[in-house]
Amino acid sequence: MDSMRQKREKKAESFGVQRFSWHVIFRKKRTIAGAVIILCFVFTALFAPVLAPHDPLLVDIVNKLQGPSPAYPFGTDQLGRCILSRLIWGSRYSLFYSSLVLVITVAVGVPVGMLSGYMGGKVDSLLMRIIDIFMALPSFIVALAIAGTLGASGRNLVLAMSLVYWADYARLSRTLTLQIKEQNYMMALKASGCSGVSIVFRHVLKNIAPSVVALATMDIGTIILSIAGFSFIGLGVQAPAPEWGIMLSDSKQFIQTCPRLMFFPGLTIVLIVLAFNLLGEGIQDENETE
Amino acid sequence: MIRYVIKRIILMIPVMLAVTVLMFILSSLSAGDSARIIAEKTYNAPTQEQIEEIRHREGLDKPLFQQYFSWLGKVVQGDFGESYNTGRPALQELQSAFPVTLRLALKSLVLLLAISVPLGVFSAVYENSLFDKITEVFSFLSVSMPAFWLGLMLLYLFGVKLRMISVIGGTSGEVPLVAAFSMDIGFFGVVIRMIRVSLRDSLKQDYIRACKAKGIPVWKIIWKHGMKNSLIPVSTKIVSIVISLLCGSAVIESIFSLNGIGALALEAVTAKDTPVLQCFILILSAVVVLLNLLADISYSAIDRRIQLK
Repeated sequence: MDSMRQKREKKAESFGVQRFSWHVIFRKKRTIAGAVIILCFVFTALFAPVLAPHDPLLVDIVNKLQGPSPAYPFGTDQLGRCILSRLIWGSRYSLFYSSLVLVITVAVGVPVGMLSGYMGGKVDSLLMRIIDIFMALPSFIVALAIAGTLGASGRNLVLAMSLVYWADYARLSRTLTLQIKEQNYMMALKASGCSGVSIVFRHVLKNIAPSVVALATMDIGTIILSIAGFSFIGLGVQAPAPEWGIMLSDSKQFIQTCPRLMFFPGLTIVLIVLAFNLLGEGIQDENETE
Repeated sequence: MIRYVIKRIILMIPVMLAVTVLMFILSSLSAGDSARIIAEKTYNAPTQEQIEEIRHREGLDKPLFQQYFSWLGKVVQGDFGESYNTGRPALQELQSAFPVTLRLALKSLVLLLAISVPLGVFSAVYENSLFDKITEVFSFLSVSMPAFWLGLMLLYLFGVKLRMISVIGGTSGEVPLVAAFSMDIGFFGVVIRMIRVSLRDSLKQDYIRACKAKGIPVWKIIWKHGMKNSLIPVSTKIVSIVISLLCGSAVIESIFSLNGIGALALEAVTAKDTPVLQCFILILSAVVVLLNLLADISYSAIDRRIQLK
C-alpha cells in the first residue's frame, strides 16, 4: 500500500507552478476515457438507490451462491445478497471516503505548507521537522495504531490516511510558496501594503491551486486502493457494509468452492483506479509539455 | 560524515520518544480495559475484585505519567510485556514471526529488480518501440492493480487449479514466489519508469556520444556509462521500497496464510492484544527511522557530490 509513496514523492518534486487549460488536458483519448469512467462511477454512486436492483444488505440464504441470472445479473454471494447491488452501493464508500481523505489532507496540508514557506525561519524548520516525521511513517503502521487503539471503522481509517497524506501536500505547497515568494509581483504586493494573510490566502493560494489539484487527481487512485486494501484486512470499513475490499475479503473462504465471488469486486476496483490514473496522467503530461 | 551520523542518531531520540508518548496515550484512550482483558484470560468469569486485584498488580491504578515512565523503562530494556493471547513475551512473538516477513520482503525485492531493471533498460534503449509501448501499458496496469486482488487470483490459479501451492498455508515458513510477485505489483510501474526515464536522460548526454564516436560497443556504453549514472536514483529508492515491503506485508501474508509480523499485528488488533501491537509499532517505527538514515548516508556514499550536513 505504500508502493505509491515513492511515486508520490517524485510527483511532488516534478510539479512546478502551473496553470490548467482544460482543452489541452483533454486532448488525449485515454484521458477522456478516464474522465468518462469516473463520471459513470459518480453517477452510479449518486443514484445507487435507483440503480441497484436489490437491497445490498438483504440476506436470502435460500438463494446463496447463485450464478448470474436475469434477477441477479452478477449472481449472489454466500448470504444470498445481490452482488451487483453491493457493487453499486460500494461505489459510495469508495468515492465518499477517498474524497473525504483528500478534502482533509488538502485543508490541513496546504495552509501548513504555505505558512511554513511564507514565514520561513524557526516556524519553517519546526514545521518541516514535523512534516518529515509524517512523511517517514508508513501508512500501514499508522492505520494499525489507529485501528488498534480507537477501533477499526471507516471513520478511523479516514483519520489514519489523512494523518499520512497531509504531509505530502504540506511539502508541495511549501516548495511552491518558496518559488512564488521570489517573484517580482510578490514584492509589488508587499509594497502596495497587502497584508500577509491576504497575500498567502489570495495570491499564493491561487497560484499553487492547479498543482495541488494535479497532485490530488494522481493520488485518488492510490487512496481508493488503500481504502479497499485496509478494509480487506479488517482495518477499515467493517462488514456487512457493501464495500469492495470487504466483498473480496469475504470471498477468500470460497476460493475453492465459488471463485466467481472474487471476480467482480476486483475488476471494479481496477476499473476505477485505472480511470483516475488515466486522468491524473493526462494532467501531468499537460504539465510536462509546458 | 561521522559527526553527521552521530547527530542524526541523537535526533532520532526525540522522534522515538514522541512515538512512544503518542502510542501510550492512544492505548490508554482506547475503549478496552487492559485489566479486564488480562483477567478474562486468567479467570473464566472474573469478578470485580479479581479485576481490581489485577489492576493493582499490573500497576494500572497509578497516574498515567507514572505508568508511562515505568512502561518506558521496561520498553527500553526490550520488555514490552506478555501477549494477552499466548502469554509469551511480545518481543519474542515478533521475533518468531519476523523471518517469514523478511524472507517475503527479500524475495519480493529480488524479483522486483529482476523484472523491472531489464524492462526499464530495454524500454529506455529502444525508446518508442513496440516493446517500450507494451512495457508502458504493463507499468500503467501494475500501479492500478490491487495487490490483494492479484494475490487472490494467483492463489486461485496456483493453489486451487494447478495445486502448486497450499491454499491454507504451511508451517514451514516457505514463501511462494507468487506471493512475492503479488506484493511487488504496485512497485513494478514505479521502478520501471524510474529506470527508463533516468537511463534515457543519461544516454542523451554528450559523454555518451563521445563514447559512441570512439567506437565502444553499444552494450558496454549502456552498461558502464549509462547505467552507472542512472542507477543512483534507483539505488537510493531501494531503501524506501524495502520499508514499504516490510511494513506492507500484512495484506499478502493474510492472503497466502503466512505467519509473518503483518499477520501477527492484524491478529493483535482483533484480539486487542496491546503489548504485541505496541511492540510491533515501536520496533517497526525504529526500523523505519534507522533505514531512512541509512538511505541518506548511502545517497552521499554513492554520489560524492552530495554533501551531508
